Amino acid sequence: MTQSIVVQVGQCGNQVGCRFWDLALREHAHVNKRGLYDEALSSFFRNVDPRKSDGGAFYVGGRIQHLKARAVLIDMEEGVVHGILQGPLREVFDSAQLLTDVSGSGNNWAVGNLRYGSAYRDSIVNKLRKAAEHCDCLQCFFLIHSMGGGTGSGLGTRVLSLLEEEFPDVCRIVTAMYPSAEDDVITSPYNSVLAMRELTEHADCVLPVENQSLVDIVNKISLMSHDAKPGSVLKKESTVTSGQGGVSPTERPFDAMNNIVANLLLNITSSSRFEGSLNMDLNEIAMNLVPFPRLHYLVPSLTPLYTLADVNIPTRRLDQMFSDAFSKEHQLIRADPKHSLYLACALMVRGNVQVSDLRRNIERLRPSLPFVSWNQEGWKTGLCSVPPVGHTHSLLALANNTCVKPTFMKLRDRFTKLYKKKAHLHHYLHVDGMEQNAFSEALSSLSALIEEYHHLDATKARLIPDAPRLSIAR
Amino acid sequence: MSNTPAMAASRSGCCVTDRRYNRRPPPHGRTRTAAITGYYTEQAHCDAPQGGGNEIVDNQSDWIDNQERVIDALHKKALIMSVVTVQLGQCGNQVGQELFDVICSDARDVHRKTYRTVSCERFFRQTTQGDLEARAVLIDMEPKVINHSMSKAAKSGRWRYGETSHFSQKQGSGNNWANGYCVHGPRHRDAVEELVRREVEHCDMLAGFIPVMSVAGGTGSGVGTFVTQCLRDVYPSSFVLNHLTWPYGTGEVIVQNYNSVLTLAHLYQLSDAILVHENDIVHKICSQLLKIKQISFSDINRVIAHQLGGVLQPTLSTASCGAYSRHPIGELMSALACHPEYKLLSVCTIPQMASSSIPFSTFSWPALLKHLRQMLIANSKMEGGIDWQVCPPPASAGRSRSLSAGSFNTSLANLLILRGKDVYSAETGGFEDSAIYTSWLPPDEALSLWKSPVPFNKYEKSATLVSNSQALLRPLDDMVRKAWNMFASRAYIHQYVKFGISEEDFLDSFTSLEQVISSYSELQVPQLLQSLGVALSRGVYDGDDKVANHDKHHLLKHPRQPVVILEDPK
Repeated sequence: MTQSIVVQVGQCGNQVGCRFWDLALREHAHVNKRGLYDEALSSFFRNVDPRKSDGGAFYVGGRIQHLKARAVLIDMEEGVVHGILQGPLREVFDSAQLLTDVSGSGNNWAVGNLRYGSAYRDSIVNKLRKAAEHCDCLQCFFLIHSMGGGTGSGLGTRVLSLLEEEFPDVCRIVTAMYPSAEDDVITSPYNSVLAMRELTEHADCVLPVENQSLVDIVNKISLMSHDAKPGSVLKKESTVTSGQGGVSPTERPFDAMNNIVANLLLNITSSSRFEGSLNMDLNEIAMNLVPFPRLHYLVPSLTPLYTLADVNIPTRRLDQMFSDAFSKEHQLIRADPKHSLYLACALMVRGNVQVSDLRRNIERLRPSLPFVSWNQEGWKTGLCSVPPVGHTHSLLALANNTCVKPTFMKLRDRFTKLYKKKAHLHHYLHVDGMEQNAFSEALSSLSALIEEYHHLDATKARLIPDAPRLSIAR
Repeated sequence: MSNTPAMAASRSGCCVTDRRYNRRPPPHGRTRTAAITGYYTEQAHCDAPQGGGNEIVDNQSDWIDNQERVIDALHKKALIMSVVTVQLGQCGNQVGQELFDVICSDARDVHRKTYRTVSCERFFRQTTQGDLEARAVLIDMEPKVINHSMSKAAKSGRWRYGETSHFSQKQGSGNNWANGYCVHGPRHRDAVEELVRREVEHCDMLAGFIPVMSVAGGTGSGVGTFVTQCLRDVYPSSFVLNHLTWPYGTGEVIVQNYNSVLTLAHLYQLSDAILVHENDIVHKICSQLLKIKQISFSDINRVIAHQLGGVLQPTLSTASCGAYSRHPIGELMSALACHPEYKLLSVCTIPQMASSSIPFSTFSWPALLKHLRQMLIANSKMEGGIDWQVCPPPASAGRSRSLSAGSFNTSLANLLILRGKDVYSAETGGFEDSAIYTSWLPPDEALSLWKSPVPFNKYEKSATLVSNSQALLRPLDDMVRKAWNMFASRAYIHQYVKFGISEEDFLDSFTSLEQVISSYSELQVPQLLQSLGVALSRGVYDGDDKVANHDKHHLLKHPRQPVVILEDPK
């Protein structure tokens, strides 16, 4: 069994991470009734002896003594991380896993990436190495950060390139939180575009999540729970809709939104943690979904989100789950994959779903989904037998789809609007090592990426004939 | 009677007699049927019905008992050859587990002692406590599936896997053939070879290896190919029969066609024969014949196991002269793998139905064989939806066959295996029709018959056909076409290059599979062309040509159009 390490950077990253650990503990508590430290648990947690300061880790198979998260928490302010340390999750982190400063990055990518990045380089690398040494087969780093702020985007992407330097063979999956258009951080377009370049060059996969989509989903959920139709009940205990039942007793403002992202991470790793009839390991994600190295932005969608439990028609409900995964309302970015072009698509199913259900739904949905000519059957499927807490089944779809293009184009527009007037530029250029061509290079990297998607989109309407085959002389 | 078991063994060179001196087993019998069965010919011919057997015995049961006694007597004098199965990857380990389960429960069900002994000796070894342990090596790059298969086997209570005959790592191959073949395979070569060697040493005589794997994923296909290569190196004269599961046409794994192309191209050089099951067809069997509503992978694997069991369980062949044939793999090869250019074997079995319907069904050999024959010639690998319009072209008109006869499935060689009641009364003449076969192999050579009076796996009568024919041509062609389309845009290639498989390696694999496709298509075409009075030659793929130093878009911009040159034969 392999292990993964979560690296959470900045305020947003740490808040999402915090929800993730809460829900992960809850999921394992639900599955693992015997209180044994099993393989599944070992993928995200260490089992340590609290009496020894370090190195007192227990092996798989024994009783759970004291669980420690395989995580590194980085923030350049103290607020959020200290909040975590005073909260109920304090037990799962050591002070050795934390790295904080007091002054923050002032929403400035350059401060996070260059100033703090250089100052804290060694201690970050040390903490990452320490975490890696506790794993006997490290498979993946999950990096969580926002794109808008200074610490998340700046230091987060710095950590990404450090990971590439130090652990070139370990998969790097970034969950990047994209700011809404009406973001209150004025420099967020700068930060995002500068960070995008790093993501495009150094990540194996990026799961973009847009704040606005999360807001929409959360609003819709609360709307439904208020005026639920008679006969349909909103499931109260599901991990998606509420954080209740976890370690944290009360909900804070962003918790509902962060829960959704935390669930994304739980589902993406479920197949590598639990048994299933068709396993899908983490290293299979990039292998199947990334046809060209730079095009590794995978649009996630989660179902069921609006858990209306109508128990009478289970098959239809199951099929509905598959349909929903492709609807606009269930995408974690604001995009419409159905009307763009699929390069590849993964369906990661959890719960009591069989291969025939999977086949039936793929056959049913395939005609309505445009796939690139050379990958007409670009489906990757995984079946994990353990459903999320409170559900009978769930589906995570990851789409490598050109529908990310509009999001990137909007970002570019907002960037150019600022950049034309050179607004706020001096804040960045103050920072040691930051030069103006970093902006133009980041912009051209983003434009090149958009262009690549554009080229693929252009093939959509055309009928591409089969490539002429090699012929054999007789 | 100067023949002793030891002599027989030495004659076919198959005996691991002294383990102290045989750290590496001696070359095993890649002998042909004559040598393998030569031992019997002198003593057994009088007692056993030959081949198509016209004997009509009033009391079937008495007759079988009598038959069993004869067989039994013969077997006391001979060693039974064993098969070592190598299960690779998730699919291989799941299919393998179901296979042993079917074999074990089938052998348990029957009261025929010899059948049971032969079957068990072939696939299992007995521990000192008398428990059955599968002659299998389990290999996967992650532990979950192996653990699951081993505990499932142990739970059955009838058999289990050896405590130490498995090898797993922590991290899978990530659906990447190159990762399996270039990294994981070489890295764990010694450990795997050691496991296989131990298993081989447990065999009194080794009939050969059956690596069981899928072609879609990374471990089954990549590591599987590498392990097959190791088997070929270490046991150069043993038979290797690869069992492959081909993925669903519409994606389990997105790079499945790449992985399949690389696997098949390499195995074609290594393996003696390649037995194929297609998930799509097995899925159809589950839904249409077995009437399973929610089909799981274990349902699919059970069907595969049933069909494989139908091939591998003990039978009497014409050559084995009244005893269960000793060398199942060797005889399978001699029956079917008659030309190194043709190695793809498909399987179909009849009847297959929901177990609740079996008690209400009656089977007759003429009906079963009529259906099976039509399944063969119309190329439908399952009963149901058979195209009854397809018929072999009339022999006299063979020279003017039209291209529309393309739906007719031409065979190179077939192996018909009949099991159950009244098996010697079955009339198999329909399979001896020369119109079914190529012109260059006479039907009596092309068709082999194995029979066993013991019913197999719940079915009173059942027939299994292993066919070296054009049956797999279309799925193979689809696979290559899809992979080639993807390759033309160079999608995903960087993932393979990372582990040491270059674009040239891909091109080599494509070339060798195009060769296979072309050979199988030509099974019937030459006659046609001769009749038209033209010889067809097409553009030549030249390895040193542009292809070797193509740039990224070369193949897109400058597609090499096939050149068709019509020549006068004179």
